[in-house]
Amino acid sequence: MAYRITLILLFIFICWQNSLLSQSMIETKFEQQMVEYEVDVVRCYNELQKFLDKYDRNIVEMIAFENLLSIYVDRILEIYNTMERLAGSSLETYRGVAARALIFRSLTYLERSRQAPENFEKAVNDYKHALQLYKTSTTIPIMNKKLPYEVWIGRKMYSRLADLLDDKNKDFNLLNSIKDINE
Amino acid sequence: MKKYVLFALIFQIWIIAQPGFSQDVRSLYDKVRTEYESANFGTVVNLCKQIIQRCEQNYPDAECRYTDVMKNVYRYKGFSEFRIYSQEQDMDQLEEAINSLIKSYELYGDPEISFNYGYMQSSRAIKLKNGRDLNGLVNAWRGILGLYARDEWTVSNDLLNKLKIFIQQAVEISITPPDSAFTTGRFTSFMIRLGCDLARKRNLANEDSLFFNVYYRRAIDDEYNLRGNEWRARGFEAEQLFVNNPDDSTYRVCRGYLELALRFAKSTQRKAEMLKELTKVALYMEKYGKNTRRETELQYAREKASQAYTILQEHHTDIPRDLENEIKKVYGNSIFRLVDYYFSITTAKDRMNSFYHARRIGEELLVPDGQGGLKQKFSWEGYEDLYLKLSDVGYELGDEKFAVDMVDKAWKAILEINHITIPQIYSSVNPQTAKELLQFAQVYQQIAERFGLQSVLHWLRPIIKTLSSKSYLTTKQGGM
Repeated sequence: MAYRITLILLFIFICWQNSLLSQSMIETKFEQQMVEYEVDVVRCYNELQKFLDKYDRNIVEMIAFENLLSIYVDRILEIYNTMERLAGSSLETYRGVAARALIFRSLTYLERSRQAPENFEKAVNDYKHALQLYKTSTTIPIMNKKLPYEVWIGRKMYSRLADLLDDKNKDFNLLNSIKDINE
Repeated sequence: MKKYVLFALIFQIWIIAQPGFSQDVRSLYDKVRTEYESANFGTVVNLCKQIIQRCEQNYPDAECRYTDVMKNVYRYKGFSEFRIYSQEQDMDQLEEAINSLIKSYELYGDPEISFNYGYMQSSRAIKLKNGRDLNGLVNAWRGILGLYARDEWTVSNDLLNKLKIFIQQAVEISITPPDSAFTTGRFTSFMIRLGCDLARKRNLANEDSLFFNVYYRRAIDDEYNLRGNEWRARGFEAEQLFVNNPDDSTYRVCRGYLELALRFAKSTQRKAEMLKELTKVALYMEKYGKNTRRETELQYAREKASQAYTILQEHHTDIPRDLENEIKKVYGNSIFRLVDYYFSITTAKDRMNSFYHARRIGEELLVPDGQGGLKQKFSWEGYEDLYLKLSDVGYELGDEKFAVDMVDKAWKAILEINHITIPQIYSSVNPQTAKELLQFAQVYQQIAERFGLQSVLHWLRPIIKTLSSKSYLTTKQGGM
């Protein structure tokens, strides 16, 4: 009898271990994918910046870059939401990736906000969403964290989102908008 | 009153008799599937329209609420409309197909559908020559990423094929329309790089690897100049066809592509390369082409070569040595051939004009040599022939100074090319070289005789005698 119970317990333990293992494998795959997508977001953003440097900036291509970057950000958010549902909200790495992707999209929207005012609204929403992801966190805010990669605009290299945001959002419009919303 | 009742009855009968009215959505949907499998695309479109109409009524069937059914109705409709478009080339059908698939995608985000309507949007842009429409590429890419994720982030064979289609469309859009640049081409170049990177995530067969490597290069070469790189590639391909069959049609196509490659070239090196290639093609056409207009082709070649040489002078450091040599060769060759052309077309009536014309053309390559004569601007493969031809021109014109200067330069050039000195002529010259030198010496003699240069003749006679006997050996050996 005891032998049977041991066997059953062993079986249950193995099943539990297996499910843990497969969940961990899925999580690893998700993390890997999120990082890959983030690399593509940054690539896309860097490419757009090179393009903006040129005198012959083309509005159709800017929109296409914007849409392309948006596809990647949507994919990142999709994985992030899945991970959140699976494992709760304590996923620091995923949150970082999602928040950074949102900030990059927000900055991309900002590039064309003068020609398309609705872009400003989209930029504010993404910016707000990114900040909200870190609202309850006790760690360093995403803006001040060192980026895991370099972002080049012209000859200037950025290693923190805060610096990039300061340069790109010279009038602090995004920040002011968030303040207005909070007030 | 009776009239109204009768009219109402007839109207009701007509409504009931309408195809599809009496059938419910389920049976119509079943029919759609069977008709689609039987490739009756016109019927599929009609049936789908009936389903959509029925679902728009106040009390639609239950199936109208099922996403699974409706996304497929729009899918079948879209694909059938596209098949009809493929046969009839009616743009309205294509438009309908795109709208149907967008609707299907809105109901159920199937990445396959996103890829397909993206593909159709790009096809429409290409067909309408609207290079500004990049939405198709973005939507197709959304589909590709979705399919990649659906296959658990692996690149399947199907996805690989889709990537190839995607890349080819991206290229086609960036060169649409051919003669103008609606976009900078940076976006399409970036899309191709993304596509190639995704494909390379799996082990590629040699042929596939070559495909993606080639397109990756085209996306990045010449400062990410996808448009220029594609025209260049097409130009070279057309050049092969032209060389195999040099007629007017292949020539026009080839020249057209190369001219587009030149127009959209970004770097000076690329511009020089395309100008050189255009010169080569025109020279080939002049020599081997069927029904060729010799003078036009030669003048065209001369103009392009001259432009290439100007670039070479202005941006010497940007041009690699082998390209520099090729530019010099084609420039020299085009001038030589044009001189030869004017020299050979002379008729009794305007012979002097033609000789003067030939001389003026030749002088394009001449600069003062600092000793009262003229020399060529640069050495190129065959530069001795141009000197010789110009000496002939001088002979005919009766210009002693020019003729003697040119023939002297030609003689020195041929000796230099063969790495031979005058004393060696008497000792170690081989029969083949002797034959080559003899031709130059005879022209020298002819000019000396015409202008009475006795001392030159005195110096030349033994040389000619030696060369004749040595070259006679060649003839004899050849004859044997």
